[in-house]
Amino acid sequence: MTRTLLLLGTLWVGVLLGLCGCQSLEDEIAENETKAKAIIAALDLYQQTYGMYPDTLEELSPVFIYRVPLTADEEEFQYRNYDDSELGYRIAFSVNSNYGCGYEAKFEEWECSPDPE
Amino acid sequence: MGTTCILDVATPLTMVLAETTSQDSIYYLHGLDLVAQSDGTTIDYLAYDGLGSVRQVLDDVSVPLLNQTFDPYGNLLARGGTGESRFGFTGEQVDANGLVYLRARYYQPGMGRFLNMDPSRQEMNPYQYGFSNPIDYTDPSGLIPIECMIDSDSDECLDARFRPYIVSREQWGAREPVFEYCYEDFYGEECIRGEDVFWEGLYDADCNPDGYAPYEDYKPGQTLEEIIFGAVIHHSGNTNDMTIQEVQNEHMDGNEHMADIGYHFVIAKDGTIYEGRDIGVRGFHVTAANTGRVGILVVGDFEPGDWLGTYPNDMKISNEDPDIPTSNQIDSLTALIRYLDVIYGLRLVEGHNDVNPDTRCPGNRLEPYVVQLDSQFGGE
Repeated sequence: MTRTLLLLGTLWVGVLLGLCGCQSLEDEIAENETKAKAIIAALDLYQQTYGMYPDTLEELSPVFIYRVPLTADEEEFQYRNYDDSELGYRIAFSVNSNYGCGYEAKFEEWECSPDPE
Repeated sequence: MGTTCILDVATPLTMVLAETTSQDSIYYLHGLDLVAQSDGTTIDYLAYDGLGSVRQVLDDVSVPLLNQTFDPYGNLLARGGTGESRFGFTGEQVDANGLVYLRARYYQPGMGRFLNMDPSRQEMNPYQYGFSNPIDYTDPSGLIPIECMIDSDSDECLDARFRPYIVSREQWGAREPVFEYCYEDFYGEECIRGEDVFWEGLYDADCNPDGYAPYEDYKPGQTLEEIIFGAVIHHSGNTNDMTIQEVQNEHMDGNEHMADIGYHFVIAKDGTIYEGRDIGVRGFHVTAANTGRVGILVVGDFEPGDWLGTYPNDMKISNEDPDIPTSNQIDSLTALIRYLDVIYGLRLVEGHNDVNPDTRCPGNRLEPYVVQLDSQFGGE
């Protein structure tokens, strides 16, 4: 009986978290990075095709990616083409008002940090 | 009668810009080296040999006005022509008595030695000039020989030529980096380590990837020249006229609990450049884009009125008293960016809002200079 109640309680908490859309910082970052992987792959394809990166992510759709995904918060990923063959581009997203993550093509690596201001 | 000199002391090696006597004046035009001299009506150009010695003075149609040659220790071997220049062996000033002025002390070419001991006490033989190898070494500071031929691109040489005067951490009394934040609450002392996202801590690839990251640990095998690609310029905003110590205290004791000051350099209103975080360590001055970007704070509020709140109490609450960057700040910023470009090869000079568009830093009164510096020093 106790075990059943515990199980039901756990399920209920899970349902509540799902309903309110609550997600831990780590989960949200992981989800956004996974979504961004598709964009990064499409950018690489674009670059191989045209020898440069697009000025906006919209230019990837629909040929290189069917639809540019949004972040977990339904925001657009920030994108910047440096117009520099060594630097390439940068993709970034905010997780909340004072925390964000960015991917520099030069380093092929994500960096996350709070807003220092 | 004496001679009055105007000096540029913001350069690594103090340079003469003008000399004036009661009769006349000579103005010196500097590019990366001394390029030309002018008496106010004509301009004469200087031509150097590989050691940087002035071998010719040319007029504006390249006719030689002066030819001179030196032996390896700087003794004048031959001289001809009607032109004049106070600059000779290794491009340094030669006094009327034949002594070469090397800033910390005089060099006597006839003896091939300095007249005074090395004040830095770094050399085994304190009177020796250029490790007794004047073909490969010069000593423009009089303190330490450098292997610095003209056009040499060794780090040591570039550093000596382009590094502006920077007040070191030791000189301004910087606090050492701190990697553990402790506070006392109802239950006693609690310590927070770097895995807390609001506390920087020390870099750890698995546990604290956002932490204070010396590049040798974070990107082993890569040189700083390979990693550093940009400079980001900030203003201090509403907090306005902060000292370097106040900036460091705010960063380390404020909400972020940074391990150290977040910027690599701070330029005060009088133009003094202070060394901040070690340049071999990732900065903490923009959101999620600190790797490879050098952070430079220009002290001042260059967009007054962008924040009209009343908290904290010391913040500005009106848009009066507009700040503009001082000419000393702009000169120092330009010298610093030039130096970083020479040493690391900058590809971008950005304002904070180029990286994080939701901020107005570095302010609309500084942004035009950022754009200008990017066009001058950024790019491939």
